[in-house]
Amino acid sequence: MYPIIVLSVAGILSMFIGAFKLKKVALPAVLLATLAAFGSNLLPQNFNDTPLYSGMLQFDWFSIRYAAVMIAVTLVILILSRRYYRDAAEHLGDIYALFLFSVVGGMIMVGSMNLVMFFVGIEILSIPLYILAASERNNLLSNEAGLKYFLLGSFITVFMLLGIVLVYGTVGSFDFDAINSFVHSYNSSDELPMLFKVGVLLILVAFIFKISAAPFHFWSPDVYQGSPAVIMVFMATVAKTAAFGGAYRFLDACIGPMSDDFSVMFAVLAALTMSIGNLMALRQDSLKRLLAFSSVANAGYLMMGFIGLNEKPTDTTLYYMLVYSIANVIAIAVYLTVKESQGSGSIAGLRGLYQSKPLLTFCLVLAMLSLAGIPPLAGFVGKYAIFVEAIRDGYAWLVVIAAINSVLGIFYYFRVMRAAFEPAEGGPVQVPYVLGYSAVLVMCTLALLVLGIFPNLFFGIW
Amino acid sequence: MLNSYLNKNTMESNVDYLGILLQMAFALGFVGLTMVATHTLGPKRRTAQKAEAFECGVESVGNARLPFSIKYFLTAILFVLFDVEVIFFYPWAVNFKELGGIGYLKMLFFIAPLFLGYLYILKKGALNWEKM
Amino acid sequence: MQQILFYILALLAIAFSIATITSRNAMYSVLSLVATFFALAGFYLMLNAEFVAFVHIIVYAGAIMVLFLFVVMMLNLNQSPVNIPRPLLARLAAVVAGGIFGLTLVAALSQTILPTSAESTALAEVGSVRTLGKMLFNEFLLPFELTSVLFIATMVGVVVLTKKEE
Repeated sequence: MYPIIVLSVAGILSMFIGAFKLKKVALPAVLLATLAAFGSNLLPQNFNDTPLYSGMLQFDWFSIRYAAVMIAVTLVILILSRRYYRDAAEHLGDIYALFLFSVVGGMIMVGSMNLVMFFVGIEILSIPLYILAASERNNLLSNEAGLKYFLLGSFITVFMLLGIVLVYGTVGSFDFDAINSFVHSYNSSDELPMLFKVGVLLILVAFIFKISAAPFHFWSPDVYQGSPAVIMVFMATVAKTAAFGGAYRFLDACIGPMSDDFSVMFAVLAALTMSIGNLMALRQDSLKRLLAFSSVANAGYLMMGFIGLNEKPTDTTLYYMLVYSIANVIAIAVYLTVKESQGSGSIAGLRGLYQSKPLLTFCLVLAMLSLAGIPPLAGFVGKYAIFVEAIRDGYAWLVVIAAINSVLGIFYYFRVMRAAFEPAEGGPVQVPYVLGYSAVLVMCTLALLVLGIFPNLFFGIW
Repeated sequence: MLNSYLNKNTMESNVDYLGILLQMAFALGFVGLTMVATHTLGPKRRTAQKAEAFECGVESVGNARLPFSIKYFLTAILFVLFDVEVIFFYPWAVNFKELGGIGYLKMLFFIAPLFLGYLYILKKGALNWEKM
Repeated sequence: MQQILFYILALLAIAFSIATITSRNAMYSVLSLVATFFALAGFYLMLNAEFVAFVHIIVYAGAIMVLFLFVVMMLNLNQSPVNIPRPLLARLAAVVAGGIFGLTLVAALSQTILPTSAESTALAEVGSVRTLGKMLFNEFLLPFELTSVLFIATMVGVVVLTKKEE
């Protein structure tokens, strides 16, 4: 609960920083607030095992971990956003405020124990995202991205609301515990009322949309490509973590034993999602669009974690999400520097990077290797853990498809790496210096290495 | 099955709305009646001049369907926001006595951020028609 | 009496919502939507949900519709309606998908016995403003307070999207 309060207040403050045009103060203030939120999240008083506020919100280990990852990734994105928002900054404080509000929504989602709370969370997460996607006002692509995301997102929200209504109609309560005991009161899920099942399915549809998994992935390439790069990486990492965390919370705490019925559905959708994502990514020239499809593919791998949910720890998904987020942030950070010097966001624009910025290239290479799942990087450990669990649940065929997909992935990740080493036509690229930028990038890259070699650092601390 | 849904609503409270319903019917009927009546009773002399949109001897230029300025939209959406916010006052007002001081504080917590939001809008000049 | 009213309202709601999605003129579409909202408000009243009914009329039929009209007026209506290509396959898929969805809902509704009559007398007061207020300020206090964060985020969003910084 503390980080929610801290970030809400910080958001309001940041919005006044924007109103008074204190552009110099904006970023330090926001960073400080995010750090404070991270600290307050880890306070022992923040932990509670029983839902608070009449069963609305529960900050147990699950929510605290997810909140920690979301805040940490947001922190890194905010630091890196300096390059993007350096001079193009209209409404700077206001935009940072929207970031913070969105994180608040994500934390509410993963911590909620009530469908009403849950809905409020998903809206607080999404509405700032719609606006952020369109925040580059003079860029038509950004406007299109915002509009598309908003229309489809609100359309899917309607489905979710209908699902919530149907669940409420059959159970008579919004409370996760009440719904859980309602499910438990039936011997098998075949006897559950049809209307309840339809309601649950509709809510799941909303999740499948939010994590941009097939068959509801069509929005994500356009939206990711059109949005400003900083927003895109925020959507692909923090918002996705929130959506996965929320889905876990719903499947685990709300419908509990019933979630196993959806295992086959999740398995098929996961196979479909990763295949579509990887096959489409093979053909992309724009780096952002490639990352968008790679994000779709990764949603597929992550969805494998929904299978046989009741017997497995939720750590692996979070680990994978964290590792994927870090790699994605690095890739976008490199993209930002290249875009600034070259003016082109295509993969070919990476040419000559090695000659002028060997350190950046090193970071990019490690990020791509991690995304491709090459040992000893963290991406490999994440994939391995997820695959092993799927085999344990008896989904060997899914793991075979996932393995083929990983090989496909290597192709396009290597294409990006190769471009960085090719010589540029017009000599080495000149990139202006931004304070602390490389330091943060190197730290992220080291995190990828350390998490990959000593995964127990992550799995052990909790 | 439909009956079972409906039967539970055979409450007296529904009768209370009969008056409102009647008034609505009356209002709609009056509007409809006057519209039909003026059209049928009035004399009809149609000329080209009479069909003009503006008649003060000035030639009308262009088209009436011009795109609106975004200003209207901004004002309208801010109005909707505060309108929705005001809706939450009704349940509070009805329970004002029972909720007491605590309820007042709860409402204050809800309304304080919105007041800050209002200040923000003022500072941003979103309500300043001239400067938009 | 209740049943007749129900069927009249249902007919109105369905007719106007069909008009909303089929009419070529955006203005008629919006006005049909207003009519649909009124019919829905009638349903809420029949279900004793007075508060929702009034909110529906004040906010949806009033405020949001004004917003919709502004949006329609921001479009350039002089142009003839844009002809978006709609391939036959896409239309067919939409009809089939919508049909399956409707069928699922109807089938699920007819197979499910909802909690009725016994509790319904107790439920009769549920929709009143008084009960709703009590629930809002006790049980659902946290979502209620956090809604203000949502409002604020929206305010920031409107300003960011529509205003230039001087």
